[in-house]
Amino acid sequence: MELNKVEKPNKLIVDINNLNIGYKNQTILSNINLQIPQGQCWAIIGPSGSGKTTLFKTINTLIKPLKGSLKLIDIPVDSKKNISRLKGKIGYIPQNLGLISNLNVKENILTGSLGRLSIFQSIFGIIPEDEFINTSKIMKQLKIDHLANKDIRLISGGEKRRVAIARSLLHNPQLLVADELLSELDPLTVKLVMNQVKSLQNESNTTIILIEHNIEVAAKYADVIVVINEGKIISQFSSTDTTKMNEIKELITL
Amino acid sequence: MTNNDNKGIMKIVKATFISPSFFFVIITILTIIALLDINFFRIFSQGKFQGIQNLFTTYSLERSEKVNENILYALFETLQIALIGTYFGVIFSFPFSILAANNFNSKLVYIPIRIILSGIRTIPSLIWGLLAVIAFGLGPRAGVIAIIFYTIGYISKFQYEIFEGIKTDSIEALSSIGATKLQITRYVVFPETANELISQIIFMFEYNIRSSSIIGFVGAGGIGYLLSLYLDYFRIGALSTALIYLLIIVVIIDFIGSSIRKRFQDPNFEEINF
Repeated sequence: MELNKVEKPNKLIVDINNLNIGYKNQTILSNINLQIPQGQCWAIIGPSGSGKTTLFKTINTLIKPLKGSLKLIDIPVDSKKNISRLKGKIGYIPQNLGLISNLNVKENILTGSLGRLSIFQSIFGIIPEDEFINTSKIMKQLKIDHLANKDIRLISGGEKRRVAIARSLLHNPQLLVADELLSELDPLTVKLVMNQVKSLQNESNTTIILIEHNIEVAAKYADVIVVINEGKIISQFSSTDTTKMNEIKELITL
Repeated sequence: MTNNDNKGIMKIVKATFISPSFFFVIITILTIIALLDINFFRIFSQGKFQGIQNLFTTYSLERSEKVNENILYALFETLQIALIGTYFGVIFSFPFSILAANNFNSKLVYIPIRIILSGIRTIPSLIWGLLAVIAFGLGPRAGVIAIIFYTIGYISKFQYEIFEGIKTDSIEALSSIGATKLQITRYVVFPETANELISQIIFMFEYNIRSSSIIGFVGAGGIGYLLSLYLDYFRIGALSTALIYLLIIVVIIDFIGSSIRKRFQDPNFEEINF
């Protein structure tokens, strides 16, 4: 592919070859190939039930692939030891965000630092000073610093999403995977959230993979768009490639 | 779509609301059969309301200073037993409840733990009191031990059932961050289930006040000993006074409990009308 030639100097953060994913005796995704270089933002689009979330859970090492090879941040995902080496390098924002309802905004974000705490510190909730500094910095960048002590159930959808982003950015992941982060948001909030995420991404050279329903949004913020349908990657193209874009648009619009 | 396909889906759609109502009807019928079996309805047919009338007219409350003093002392001891028993019972139930949840453990772990827990629950608190008296001698110490066991049996069951209903989202998010199982338990499982846990603890404390007033019957301390004495000597007036004191305590605990629980309600409720 031409695209890969241009991006060659970057190292691959996600390297998936001939991967089959599924549960027990049911294959959900077959023959998946994905090579995602560092520092890019990729969007995965496709209809509901096409296997996007399953692919995401696999990238998060939550599901073991049936066949093929999966390499994340140059670490092959094959043994328990390697999987534990990967923990903390990937930030995952689940579809329903997974915020903890009895903790407030600040506490929810601070749970992002758990990977760095010792057993003693985490049991008694003794959090080092620099975690607080990082948290307040990220909150400021994402413009949620005024919500610090607010109940997580009382903030709006866009704010909740920014809290989830802040939590996963707190441990400085090399790869951020967000499942339908922008759905249910109005265009203005999408712009706000994405601009903040993008500027953070440029700072730390984080790779981002998004699941997105809206192809316009995907084209605007992502570098590359991957289309999945019925468990297969049917197309993969640069978001600047307008002819491909129109093809896919025709395919998915009524 | 063929007609056959449609029939299948119609059946599924129709069954949604009917089946719970159907079960309700069946259970109601079974209850009525059971009531007939124990001749329950006779209390209405024999016209003997004399007993109920006697209950309220024959006896008057006994409120001598001695009775008051005895009751207050015993009541205080009961509260102590309930507090200590609930505290340790709840703490000891945490590992049990985590090990008994089927979503965190394999069958090899949770099935034996559940058998132990149902074993604990099979034995009524009075018998726990008796066993503790035999093992540790008379007095409140035995009562505390009985209440601890009793509490472990119940709180663990309540807790693991709630743990099993926990959503995977937050666990997935934190586990990718690199949180260990212990950390996930501390920062996801407990906060997410805190509302239920708190209402269970308050319920259990209330319940333990009642239990620890019963286990005194077998000599495990508390107001139960006094109640059994009053019963034996047929001092129904003094017994009623003791029960009224107990009622006051339970109402106060309930009031405190609901005000604590309120802090954990969904705050959005204050803003909606329904």
